[in-house]
Amino acid sequence: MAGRLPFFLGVLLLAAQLGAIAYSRFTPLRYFCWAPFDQQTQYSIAVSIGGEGLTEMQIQRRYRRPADGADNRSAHHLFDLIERAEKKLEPAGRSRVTVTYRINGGPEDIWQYPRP
Amino acid sequence: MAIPAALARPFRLSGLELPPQMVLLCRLLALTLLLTWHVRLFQTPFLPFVPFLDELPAVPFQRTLQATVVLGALALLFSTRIRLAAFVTGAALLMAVVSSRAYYGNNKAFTALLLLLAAAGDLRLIRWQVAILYFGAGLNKALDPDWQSGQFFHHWAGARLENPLYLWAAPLFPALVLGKLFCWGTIAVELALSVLMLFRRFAWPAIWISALFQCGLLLFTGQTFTLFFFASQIALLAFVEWPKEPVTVIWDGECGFCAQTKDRLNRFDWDGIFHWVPQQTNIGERWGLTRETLANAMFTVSGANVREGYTAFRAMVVWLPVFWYAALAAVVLAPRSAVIALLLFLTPLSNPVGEAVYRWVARNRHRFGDQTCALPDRPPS
Repeated sequence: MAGRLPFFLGVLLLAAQLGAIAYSRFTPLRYFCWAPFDQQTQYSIAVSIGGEGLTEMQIQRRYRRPADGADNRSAHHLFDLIERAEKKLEPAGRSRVTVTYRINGGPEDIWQYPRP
Repeated sequence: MAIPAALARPFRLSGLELPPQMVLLCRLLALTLLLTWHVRLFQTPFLPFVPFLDELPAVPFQRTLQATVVLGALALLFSTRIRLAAFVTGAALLMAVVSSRAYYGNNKAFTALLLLLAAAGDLRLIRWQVAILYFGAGLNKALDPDWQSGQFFHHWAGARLENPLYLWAAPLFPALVLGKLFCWGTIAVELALSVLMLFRRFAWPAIWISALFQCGLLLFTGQTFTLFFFASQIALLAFVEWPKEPVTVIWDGECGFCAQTKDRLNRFDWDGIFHWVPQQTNIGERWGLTRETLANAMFTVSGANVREGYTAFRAMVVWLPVFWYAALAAVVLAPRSAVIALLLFLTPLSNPVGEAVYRWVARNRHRFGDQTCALPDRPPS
């Protein structure tokens, strides 16, 4: 690495982050925009594949997240993760997922996959 | 007993490819990764941000990243190829972040980016990185309705953390008022830091506000937020002005205890940052320090800064990398206690006790250690 190139690449890395911060204003996702610990989500995940329910252990293995738990980031990260996992693992669309959640201690809400 | 050159390398900061404070920054990040054994959290690829990564053999990929980060961190500590080691370690850590949505976290991405930007060799990049971090964090909070109303902090501190202080204080205020104060206080601090950090003349206020803010958060929650506390504090080194010339230490050359203390401190001074000059050479006259003044305390001179007694001793300790390595290890082992001890030591809070102890030791220095102190006996009162 010589000359100004490393500095220029570093500036590009920083500019990409400013782009991610601007982009985050147009999406509920908060990846790479420095929004840590900005939302507290308590959730419970229920999954059935072809009508058969998964155990908590199976859900943990499927999403690498506890079936009942809390997340310190945007709740939409959890929904994004579940949706991507289901599209990859069950492309035939046999899975039904229901996430019951509360954001920052607010009222209970429900998110479903596939989207109604 | 002399330490082999390779083992002494972590304690040398100068004469390398990067400025001393950037070398220390890289080494402290490396030590954080090792002491917390962070690589245990690395995952096999899982819904990666870069799609092709889950096409790679999962376990070999995970093991390769773990080995690369461990070896990279060791190289940062013991090698002279700091830039290469920082680049490899940062790149591997960033690869771990983008390879798994389950592993993804701001603290890991931030640590990886600090190492990558350090490899570029320009302190401004690190400063801008920290400013962007605070800008993104402050902006997102400012635009979030639960942060505007105080609901976030009320729920987090009250229901999630069950913080006794908050639970006691919140009912003393109208509903959500205390939560709102903390929320808007946090937003104000983060946005102010994002501005202050862009200007060199505000470096010291930015360092202190950021350090006190993050230490306060750790004391309040008891959490380091995985790597975040460490990375956010270590990054502040990019704002520090490192002494360009050796620091002149004016000491009592006729005092045996002082000579022993000098030898002990010198053992940790592999960079030769301290230039010891006995007061008996009359060097103090350069800075208007009389013999009588010098007889009472040690002095350090760094640039335009003349420090005396306890504050001089504290400044000397802070310039030694071994102090920061020990401080880091202490925070890893016992975060709350170590942060309280560090805050007491590094802030003026410790001055009254520190000065009193220093004065007592200085007055009685002819009684300690090797009794070769040549100071005349104190006249009977």
